[in-house]
Amino acid sequence: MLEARGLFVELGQREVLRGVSASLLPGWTAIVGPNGAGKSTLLRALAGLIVPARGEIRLEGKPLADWPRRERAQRLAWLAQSGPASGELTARETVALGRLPHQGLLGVSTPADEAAIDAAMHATGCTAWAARRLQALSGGERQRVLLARALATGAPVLLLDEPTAHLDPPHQVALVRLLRHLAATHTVVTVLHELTLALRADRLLVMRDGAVQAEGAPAEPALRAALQATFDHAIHIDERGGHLVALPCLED
Amino acid sequence: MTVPLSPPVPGRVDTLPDADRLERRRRHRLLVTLALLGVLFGALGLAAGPSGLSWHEFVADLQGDQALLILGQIRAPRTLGAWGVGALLGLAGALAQGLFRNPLADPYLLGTAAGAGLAVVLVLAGASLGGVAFGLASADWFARLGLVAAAFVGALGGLVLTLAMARGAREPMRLLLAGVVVGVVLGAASDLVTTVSPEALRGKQSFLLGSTGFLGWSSCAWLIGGLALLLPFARRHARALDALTLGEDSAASLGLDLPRLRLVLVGQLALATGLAVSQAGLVAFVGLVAPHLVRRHAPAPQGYTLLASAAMGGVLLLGADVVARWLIAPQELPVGVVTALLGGGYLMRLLHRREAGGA
Repeated sequence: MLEARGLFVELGQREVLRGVSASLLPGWTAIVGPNGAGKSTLLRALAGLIVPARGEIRLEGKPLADWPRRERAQRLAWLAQSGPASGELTARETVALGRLPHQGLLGVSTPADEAAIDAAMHATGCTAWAARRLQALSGGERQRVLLARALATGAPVLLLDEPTAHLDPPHQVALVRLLRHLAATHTVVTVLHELTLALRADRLLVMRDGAVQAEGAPAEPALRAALQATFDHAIHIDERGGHLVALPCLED
Repeated sequence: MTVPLSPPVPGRVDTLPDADRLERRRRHRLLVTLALLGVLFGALGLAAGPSGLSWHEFVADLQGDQALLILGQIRAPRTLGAWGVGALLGLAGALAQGLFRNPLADPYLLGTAAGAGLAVVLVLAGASLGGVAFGLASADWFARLGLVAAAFVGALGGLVLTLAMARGAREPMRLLLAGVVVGVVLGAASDLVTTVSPEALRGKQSFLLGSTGFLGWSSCAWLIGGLALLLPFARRHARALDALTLGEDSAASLGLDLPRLRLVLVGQLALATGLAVSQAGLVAFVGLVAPHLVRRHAPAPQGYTLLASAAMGGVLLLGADVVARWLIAPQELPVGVVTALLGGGYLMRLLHRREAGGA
């Protein structure tokens, strides 16, 4: 389990996170909120990429800073908001980098590594371009390769910053199915802008101005109300065909 | 701690083992071509004499009394040394471009050359003040050691100064600008030293133009020994360089200790540049162009790119050395002039192709 307690993060002169506390339990947690709420910063702090000014993050009960780098990387996989657009690596070579925490710099790829790479590429549907270079892929294809790279780490905690970015609707739907499937065995934490997709998560963490506004299951009426209020009632959450959907309020 | 994955996102079945094989074949072919070109240019390097490339003269040289001296003590070490200098510069260029994720990064653009240049000039000036005269042509082992050490320390100092001015290696444009500033400032300091100590000027001039004419067996020992040490060491960090292509945060999330990694790679870059520069002066463009040519003909992960860039750099300088000796024989052009002309021409062509492609 991953846990944040009283996190304060400053970037430049700005306080981006202000006393954030959250327990990221096994299952899928979607972090949502308006632009500048501090969602990606929280995810980066949880991944150990930003040192908080105050507060603490614990992974499996142990302070994050006390974990050796490689052991931490075996447990926490992170997907950046935007990946590289160029480079000489093929899709498979890129996914194979996910095995670095298990191999070290000198490590030779084992059958277990190859199996993990194959499984990650299969799960994200990108085996077809295994030998194509990243720069030859579309934004959506590249995003799926980078997601496969994160999955290939085999980490039980996945921190994914906007994994649906650049994906077309069929692949967004497929990705949500994959996240739902992964949630059975992983702790999945995503930052998402597509609220209808986020409403399929087990839990929502609603943020605004660097603080958590509400936390809980999407089905809870109080959480839905808090979500609508956080977005200044520019959205309306409705139930259609047994599923929650977020609709923009376009009427004056 | 691997957790099973399963349901696939829609995608076609993998049908590309052939593409993978094609890719491997292309990489293999480039290495074989570079090895063959190395042998060919090496043979031409042994044959090129005062009359340029003449078969009759080469046969006469082989049969003459001075054959052992001419071939064994002059042309062979020069040929091998030129390959070694080029290989070190190719390796340094690939390291710089991989580390800074910038295809314009060149060992010289980052202050290493200016640092090495200033240090070498300081040693030359200091030696002349102390009544000792030596330069790039010096065969004295102690003098060579002093120049190599000075060039290495100077290269490292120039690079550290650039990194400090750029506040790290995060912003490529800031880094390149810092490199230009450090180059100008250290170049001016170097000019100041030669003004105060004119005896160092001659040594400095041959240093700036780049020359393979002074390379002997002791140089070869430094160059090949350095390459044998640095190439495997650099390739040990190739996967970390690959991970850096994903961005610094992604690389850090894979468990890499980036500050330590940068320090180690910067040290390798400075040692490779310092060794090459101390033995042959400022040979232009090889470090920039060799990795470009490798990526163009056989794009690959860094483990391959580092090796092939070294081989490409060696072949480029070996070829340029033959041209420098043959073009205006019996006189010789400084090899740095030839590499600058060829490298500049290549980059112009690259720019033209890119513009044509973008139009």
